[in-house]
Amino acid sequence: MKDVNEMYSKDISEICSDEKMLDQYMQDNMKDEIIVPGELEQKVNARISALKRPIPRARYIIAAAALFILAFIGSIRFSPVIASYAAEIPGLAAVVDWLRGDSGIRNAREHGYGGISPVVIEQDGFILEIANVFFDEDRLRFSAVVTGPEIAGMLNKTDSMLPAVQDDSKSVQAGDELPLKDKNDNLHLQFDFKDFDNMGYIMTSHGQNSEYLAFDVEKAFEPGEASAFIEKQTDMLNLGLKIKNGKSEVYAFDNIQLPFDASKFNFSDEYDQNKRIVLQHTEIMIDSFIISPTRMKLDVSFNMEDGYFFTDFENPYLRDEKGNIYKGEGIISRHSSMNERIMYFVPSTYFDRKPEKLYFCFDGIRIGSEEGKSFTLSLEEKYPKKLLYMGKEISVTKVEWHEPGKLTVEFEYSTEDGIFRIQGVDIVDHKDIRSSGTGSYIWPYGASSNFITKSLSEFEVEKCASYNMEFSNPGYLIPSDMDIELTLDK
Amino acid sequence: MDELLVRKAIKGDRESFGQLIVLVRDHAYRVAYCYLRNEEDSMDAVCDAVEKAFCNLKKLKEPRYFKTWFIRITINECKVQLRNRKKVEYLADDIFVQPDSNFKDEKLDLNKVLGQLQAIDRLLIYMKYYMGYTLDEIAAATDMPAGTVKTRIYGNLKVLKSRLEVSEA
Repeated sequence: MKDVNEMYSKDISEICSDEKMLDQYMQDNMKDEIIVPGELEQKVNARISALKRPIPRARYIIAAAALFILAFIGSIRFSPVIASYAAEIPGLAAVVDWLRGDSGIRNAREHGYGGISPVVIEQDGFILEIANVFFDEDRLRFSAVVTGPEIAGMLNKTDSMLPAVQDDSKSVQAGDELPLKDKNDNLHLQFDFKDFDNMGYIMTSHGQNSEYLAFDVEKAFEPGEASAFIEKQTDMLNLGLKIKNGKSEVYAFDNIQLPFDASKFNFSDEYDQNKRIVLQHTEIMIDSFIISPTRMKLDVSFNMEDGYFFTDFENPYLRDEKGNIYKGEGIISRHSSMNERIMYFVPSTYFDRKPEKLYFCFDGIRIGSEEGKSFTLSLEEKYPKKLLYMGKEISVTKVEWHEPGKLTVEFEYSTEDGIFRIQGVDIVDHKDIRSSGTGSYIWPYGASSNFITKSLSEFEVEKCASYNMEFSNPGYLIPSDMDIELTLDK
Repeated sequence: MDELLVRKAIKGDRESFGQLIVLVRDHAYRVAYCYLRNEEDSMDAVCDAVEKAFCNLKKLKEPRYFKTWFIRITINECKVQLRNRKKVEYLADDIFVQPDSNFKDEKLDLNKVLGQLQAIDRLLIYMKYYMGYTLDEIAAATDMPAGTVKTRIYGNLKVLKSRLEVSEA
């Protein structure tokens, strides 16, 4: 007998035309049922009762908990071999980079700079390690890890995420609903720098886990702040730490003392610049250049034409006469005012031969216009509504307010026009901004060559008929291929 | 399929998993029986599928496809049964298979000729005509292209029908 598969393969066109007839034939002839034995239920139930959930291997690894984590951190910090091995492990690379600091920190460590020993404090089931401590005239920087059974229990119950590292970018398919954030409390750390009047600092997380909280903490010193501390000739650096869940305090380390040896502290080298560059709508002043052990700092200020404001440099970096490049890494810059900018570059040339020439280079600057920056939207208006800002058209497609107090604004603009964000919201006549956040994603719209950026901004704000809003970070690009030689004579 | 139950099961809720299995158990048995044509082996295949499903629940990306996913696991377990135990072999010319207690007698001839098919081909026909699966659902459960499923079903039916007509004549 011929194989049935062989037979039907030859008559496929004829068979397809007979499908309805065959369906009817089967309906007429196959009316029997397969009887399910009663025994099956018992057997299946017995099998379910005997099941054991497999425990993921990762859980065993995590269960090694505090001591392993601390030992691992120590190994990476002090052993380049282990660090390079760990960096090869998927998912660990980012953590390793953080533990080793930015290239300015790594460069300083390689030159033997540091001098502040790590401390580990255990209190009431919380273990705090402060390590990787670097102190120079420009900044105090350290890593903080909180672990132990108490924090692990909390981390398993809460959504731990700091706003400082929150990534609002979402990968969303075209046509998807834009994601609304539903942010609850989060576990985070709050430091108190007891030896300094200026309490400002920046804290970033480069990884988190259900067993520990780990942060990179950096306090940038104001001029004279670090040297005033050195003059006190103290042998301790004093910190306080609160572990907080949202606004609630979970636990506090009131008296953290880091042993400090002032003899290992190096002062910075400062070079006055007093250089002036004129670009379209803008006058840029380079005020000073400071080389510290862990990074280099450039102080810049601007004198803008009326109606314009400075937003950013395009691709700024330093280059020496040999072509070595020094770029921003980690904290790239900060504003001391609207018309001043402090820019950081790493690694520092502090420990190396002083370059013969050093150039400040950038591909241009970006400036914004006050005109059209502010606009008013109301819940009652019909959308889409067109806005024009700096010659670019933005279409507001949706303005909605949701209980218990979230305003969402959805808008679209051409991807070619860069990134537009709504910076803040004022309720008309109330000025009651509680907090704000922005999420955005890009998806193709219309013809495949024509891309539209669709963006969603959310604000926690009370319900009101109208809201004043402002765009942020737009910026005309004013191209400029400038290499400005910095003065390296004191 | 109750997606909430599936989500709970994925999170480790054994009771929800048990409720889900109650919903798909009989379907799975019938699929297994079509494939294996042996009561004990079919029950074993379903039980093994239950265990596999429980261990791999986290791999289920779309809760709404739990039933299809589970049927696919059952079919795989049937293949394992066939491969390992070598208990069930149907030869093309083995026309006189024993009547099976799981089928009623009045349509014995059709069942007999169905028994001549390869297990997977028999399963495709049973899924479509006994269990009411669509071609797309069968394709998803058996991990075969829908076109292939359709071709194999109608191709086999055509042959079976003509054979039965010859026999009746």
